[in-house]
Amino acid sequence: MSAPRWATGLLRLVALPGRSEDAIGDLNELHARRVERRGRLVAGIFVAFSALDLAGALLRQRLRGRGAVAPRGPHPDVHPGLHRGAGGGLRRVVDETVRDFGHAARTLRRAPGFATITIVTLALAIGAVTTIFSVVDTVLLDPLGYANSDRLVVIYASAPGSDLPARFGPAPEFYVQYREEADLLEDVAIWRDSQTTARWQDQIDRLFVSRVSPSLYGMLGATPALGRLPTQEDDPESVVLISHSLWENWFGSDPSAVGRSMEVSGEMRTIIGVMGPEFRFPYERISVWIHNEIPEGAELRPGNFAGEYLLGLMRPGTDIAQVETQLDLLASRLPDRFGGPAQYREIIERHQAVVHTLEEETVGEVARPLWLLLGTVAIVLLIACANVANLFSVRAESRRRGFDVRRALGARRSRLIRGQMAEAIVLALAGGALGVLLSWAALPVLVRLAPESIPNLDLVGIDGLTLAFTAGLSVLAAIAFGLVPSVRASKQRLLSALRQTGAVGEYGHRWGRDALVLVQTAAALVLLVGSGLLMRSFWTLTHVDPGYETEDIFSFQVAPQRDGVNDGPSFARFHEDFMERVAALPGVESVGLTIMLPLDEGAGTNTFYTEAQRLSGDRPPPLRMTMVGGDYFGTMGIALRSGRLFDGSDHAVGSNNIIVGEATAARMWPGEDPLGKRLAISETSTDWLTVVGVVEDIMLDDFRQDAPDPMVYLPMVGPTARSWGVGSPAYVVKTPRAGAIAPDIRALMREHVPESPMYRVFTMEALAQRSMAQLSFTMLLLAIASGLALILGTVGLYGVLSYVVSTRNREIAVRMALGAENRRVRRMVVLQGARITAAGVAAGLLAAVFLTRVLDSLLFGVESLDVATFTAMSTLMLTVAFLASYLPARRASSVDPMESLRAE
Amino acid sequence: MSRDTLAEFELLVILAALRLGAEEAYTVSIADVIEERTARRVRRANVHTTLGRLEAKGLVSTRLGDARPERGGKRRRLVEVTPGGLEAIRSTTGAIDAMSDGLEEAIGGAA
Repeated sequence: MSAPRWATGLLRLVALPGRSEDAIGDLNELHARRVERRGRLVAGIFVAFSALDLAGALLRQRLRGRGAVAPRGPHPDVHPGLHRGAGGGLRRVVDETVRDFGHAARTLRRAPGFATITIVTLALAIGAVTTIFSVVDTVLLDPLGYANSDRLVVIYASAPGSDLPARFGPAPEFYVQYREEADLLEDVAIWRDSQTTARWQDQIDRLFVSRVSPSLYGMLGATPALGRLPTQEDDPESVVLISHSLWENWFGSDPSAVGRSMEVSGEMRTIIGVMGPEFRFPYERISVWIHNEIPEGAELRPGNFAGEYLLGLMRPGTDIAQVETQLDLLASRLPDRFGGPAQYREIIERHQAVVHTLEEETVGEVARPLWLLLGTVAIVLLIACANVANLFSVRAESRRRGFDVRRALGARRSRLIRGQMAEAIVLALAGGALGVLLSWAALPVLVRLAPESIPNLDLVGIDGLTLAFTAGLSVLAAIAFGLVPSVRASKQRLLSALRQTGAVGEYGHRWGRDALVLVQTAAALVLLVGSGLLMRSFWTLTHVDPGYETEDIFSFQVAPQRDGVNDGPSFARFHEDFMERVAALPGVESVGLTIMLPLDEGAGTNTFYTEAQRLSGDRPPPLRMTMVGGDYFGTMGIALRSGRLFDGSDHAVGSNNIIVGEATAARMWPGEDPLGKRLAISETSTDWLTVVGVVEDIMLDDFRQDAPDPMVYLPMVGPTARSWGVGSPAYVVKTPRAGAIAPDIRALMREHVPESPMYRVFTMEALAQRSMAQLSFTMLLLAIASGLALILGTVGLYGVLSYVVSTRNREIAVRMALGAENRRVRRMVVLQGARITAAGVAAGLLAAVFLTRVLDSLLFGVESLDVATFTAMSTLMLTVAFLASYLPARRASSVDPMESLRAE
Repeated sequence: MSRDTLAEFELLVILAALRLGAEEAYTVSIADVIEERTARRVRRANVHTTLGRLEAKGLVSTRLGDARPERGGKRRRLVEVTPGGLEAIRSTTGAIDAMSDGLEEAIGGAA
């Protein structure tokens, strides 16, 4: 394992010719050792420091010639020409720089209060930026980590105007055609994801499995960490590749796992390889890869759109539009090559290939909130820099007399500026280092809170790039807050200035500080408005009525695997029986079944026809279809509007009865009573389904839907025994113990279904939270950032007013001696604060009008220009600013005029 | 004589190199030995600088060893103490002995 490239590059850069190799070797060795003992993160931090340390040593060697000892430098003001030894200009610069930093560190040690406040302020802001940057770095900058990341594309099909979804997976014949004919693609792979039960010894679980064609590994440039990849010679039914995490969890990272057999989907398969932890195609939950090749010359039944997807590797220099055009052309020839029914030809006529980069597919939806958060913390850093700049200029001001004296004694101006900048950089680097520590502590918390939809979150950590970024950022921050005050303070004044008391700040300086506070106020307000908008969205979203309850509902699945339980009626008997047992558990109010749970898998899509539509030949828009059993509606809290719910006879013996949602009724039979009306399940089906009940509308996928879904509910034992389809429906259990009932049900299963694990275990509440995770996560971080901004902004305002009061002590004393009242003095100070804040609020509102637009895609039920939020946040800002001004104002009014004037 | 008296850290480094021998002494192992035996933290960069200084004074000589996988394929710079180095050790430890002679009681500890 080698040290990060930036570190070795740095050593190579600074070392004498021929002296870098052993130093780099040392660093590699130390890094490897640390990784082994303390993990990557600690090793990374350690190596960063070691590399800098070692680079310093090498640089000194290089500049002094080997063996010389650094002389202790004199005071930095003394003209360097006086004791310039042998050596070139560079050497002198380094000498002076080293001395500047040493002097800066010593000076700051004598001002611990100033140094602490500055470092903590910077650390909070830099830590926030570092934290979000490390997430952005891992998740967005190189999300895939594959060799050809930029040329990998996912290929979908679409058939606008057909009843197929807006975009769907191409059927296997597309794969054959594309792979053979598409010369803009170097290679094509096909894959399909599913869940399946897997067992090894006493381990059993439902695992995510991906069936992939072997070409996939080559396209991704993936190699197994252990064992080998499948080859053409392998029997696809008998070999399996497992993920690194499954290898750790089930096999305890035992290398002898390779070669053993495990059961996947009922087949015993030999484990031929373990993939590395970084291989997570198509997403990180996949635990098992089974190989899935379509043999050459295989007979294909075209039009079998069964959720298979294609991955393509574009030739270098090809763009997506070109690939789409070529694939459209190739697909149009499919019916000629493979045949297929008229309906298939119709689909192919409408077909358009949809090609996205794999990267876009992986991070597309999370990219925006993450960039947004990075922007937010950058604003916080800006505010922090403004704060520190203020502190810095106050300090520079107070040292002006010293600077004047030094300049009068012959110190060059550039030296004074460099001395000050050295202080700024020392402070910023210390702040950066503390910030990295804060970030290191905060990252695990952040990762736990983050929505599951953010890929590769487990890989987020502080790496070399993040450290380099933070170091660079710190130096930039130092320039931002240090340069102007340093240049100003070093300006030579007339000798007469030396005689002045220096108590009255120059107007120009005060103006600069007022401007900084204005910027801070404006920036803080922008963040406050943004987080206010997100909070309102979140509140609205949590108060949406999806048509079903989310509280007190527990859900799980069970898949019996035993002889005699293998068809509709036997599945029905098993689940009716098990439902009764669950219902008998203490605290359980009702139990129901469904094939797909809202907020999790949603429901199927199918085109139904009314009798009138069948006659006219119209093709109606598709409806959402699901099957339910037991007391599903009662358990989910979906209210009956008219007619009746399914009863025992619908479930036990099967019937042609269905229940529809209100939206379906309104769409299929507008203005009519839907009870007794009939629907056919396809264009040709002769089974007519009769509506016996109408229930309240629901939202299947999330709470942001504009309109509820048009539902059709079939009874679980429907017209045919096949209706049970899968043998493992989702149970829904209404109980106040939703969060605690899992162990009871697990015990029940050990007794009655010992061969099957309990899987897909949820509470509806957790599913609801998951559906809002993106918003709640962004909201939380933005709220933290804006809180930080508010505090920093307030501290800034307080600092400026306190300083102003202290410099105007004499003026205030004179005024009071001449009879001004306390009240008036207080008002004068508060008004000054109010003026700055009001200007800041105005600027902030203006900026917010433009900037809150970026939140649009996250907002729900609130406009990005929501007047109430803008008003509330401005009021908050003004109130806090008033409080921050009041304290210095009170101090001003308590000035004892005589004492103050005597002090002058 | 005075030219070859070693500073304290130089003495620790050169003694560690001597202890490890010409086939095993290099920056990392020298730092390890000092940390082990003196229970104090040692910065590798300091060892590196000190070795450079000792080499410039002719008290140690260095050569590149063989490439190693745990070092990312990089070679170690092996350190050998020269006769001049041995002389410097003798004169330094001799000076310490001479100065502390008879002070055992005053210094105290496990004498």
